[in-house]
Amino acid sequence: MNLEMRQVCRKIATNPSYQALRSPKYVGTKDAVSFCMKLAIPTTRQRIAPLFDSATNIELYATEGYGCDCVLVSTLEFPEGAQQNLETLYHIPVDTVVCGAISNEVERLLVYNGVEVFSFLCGPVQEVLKGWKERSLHGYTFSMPGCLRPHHCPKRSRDNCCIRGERRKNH
Amino acid sequence: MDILTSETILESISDGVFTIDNEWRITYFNSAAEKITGILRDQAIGLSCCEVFKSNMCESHCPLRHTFTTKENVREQRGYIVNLMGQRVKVSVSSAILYDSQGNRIGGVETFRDISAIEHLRSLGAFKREGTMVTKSETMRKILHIVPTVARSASTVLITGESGSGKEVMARSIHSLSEQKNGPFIAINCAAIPDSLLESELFGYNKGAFTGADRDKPGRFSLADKGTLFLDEIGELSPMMQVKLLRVLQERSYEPLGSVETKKTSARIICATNADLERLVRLGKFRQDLYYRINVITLTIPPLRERKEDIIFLAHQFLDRFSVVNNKRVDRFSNDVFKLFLSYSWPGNIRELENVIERAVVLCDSDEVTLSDLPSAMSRSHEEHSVLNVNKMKEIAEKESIRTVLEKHDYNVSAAAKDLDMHRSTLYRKIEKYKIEI
Repeated sequence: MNLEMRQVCRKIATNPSYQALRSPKYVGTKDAVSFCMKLAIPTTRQRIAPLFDSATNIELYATEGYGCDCVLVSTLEFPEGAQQNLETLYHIPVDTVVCGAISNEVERLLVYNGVEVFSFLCGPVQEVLKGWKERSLHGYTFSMPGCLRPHHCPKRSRDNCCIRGERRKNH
Repeated sequence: MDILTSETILESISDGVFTIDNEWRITYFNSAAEKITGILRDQAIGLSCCEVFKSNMCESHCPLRHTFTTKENVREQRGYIVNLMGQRVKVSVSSAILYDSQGNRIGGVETFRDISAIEHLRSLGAFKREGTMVTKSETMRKILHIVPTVARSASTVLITGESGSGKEVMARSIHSLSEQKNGPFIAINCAAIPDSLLESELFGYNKGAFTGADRDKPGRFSLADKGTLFLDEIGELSPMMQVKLLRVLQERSYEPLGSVETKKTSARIICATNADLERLVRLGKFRQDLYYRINVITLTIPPLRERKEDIIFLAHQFLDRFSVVNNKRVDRFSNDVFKLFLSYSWPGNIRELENVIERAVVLCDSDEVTLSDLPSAMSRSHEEHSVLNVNKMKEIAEKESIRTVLEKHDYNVSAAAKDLDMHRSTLYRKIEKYKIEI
């Protein structure tokens, strides 16, 4: 783990909101950083960034899972785009990515490295976080234009995506 | 021109066109734009343009934002969009400001063209002509980063890496970036030519040098003059040839067979091997002085299994290439194929990947490569690997640790046995069992 990542992890571990999220039994233990799920959301102008591959700003949230509160713990800046910095996300490690469009190759790499992907979502970040808490990210509300039905499922996102009413084949 | 005529024209062109208002909301979306993005006009109108267009330019290099800020039109800015299938579509984008009759800005217009086919043809050309190395891996990127610097120097370069990992492609890259790029690139595989012929191949011969030498023949050193000579499998050279090569590298001169005249060479030498030269030196199979002479700059290409990002990237490159070559419309891999690709060890590296995909494209009868299109040995090897039992794992670990300790003790079995806390005869037995070369 490089210095930058150590700093991010320290920031996560020492964030008071994050501390509040954690079960008391973990406080002060070596599991402090790894206990909570880390959720990454690429953002631009308070909305989900349209494309994950080239996203330059990634907000890192701590959460206890889908349907739970999210607490902003850090913001990562990737001037070269997220695609060039996937290793950083694996190192943290990020458990889930909630993003807009994403290319197949990048999504496959994330999924292969154990990251759940909620892709092809759009909307203001605060609304999306609300959707996360209410477990409604799979609904129509956050689908990007052109996605005709809810399809954003972790680990098999977009497999059931429809284009112009035609059911997509798995690929 | 009335509005109806303008709209008819915009609907008939093959370039995608959309217009936005000052709030970045789409106000017009033509049918070519529907086709390229996969989004219907009714779904796009009224929405934020970046969420419809989904381009790598939207966030930091938006052409319309640039146009709005500088009042300068952008012409043919290149980038890509990601369509709803998750595929990248390369596009060339132009933008301009829209004004009303009073000269007030009412929005902007963006036109874009799908240039995937053109880019694809260009990449095919580049791939074949210059042997450009392409990578998505961070480790490889670091190596490629120093290639231009290495290319500019005149030093001898040693490229190491497993078979099929792209050593010759790397050598071609160095040549194409060097000052000798206009000279020839001559490659010779030292292991493929018998020792008796290698000398005449490398240095050439004069008429009458031996029976059948009825004319002068230039050697590879002569052919590579003012260019690059690539000596592949340098570790396979015989001791005699090693001495001769050492002299050429030191003196930059050689004598063709049957000649008394010394010739000078200005060829840049690049050597490659998949063998561990240091070990060959220790075993006395490779001359130490030659090793130091060629080991000026060493570039080590990591095997494909250690740069998983490249597997997917290269697989797509090869899929595109062989689809064009075989006149087929195979454009994707099934999830199972990707899982197998990422977990397979690729002992033959990129060459193996290329061959596997060529075979798959030839056999594939749909637009998707599935497991049934891959060689059965590949799936079998993967299955065998994935169901390793505890004993097998122990054997692998034991073999690895014995090899490491032997290397540490310079292949002194007694010292290694002491370090491994086992009897010398036990270690000999295990060395034999695991077929470790000492």
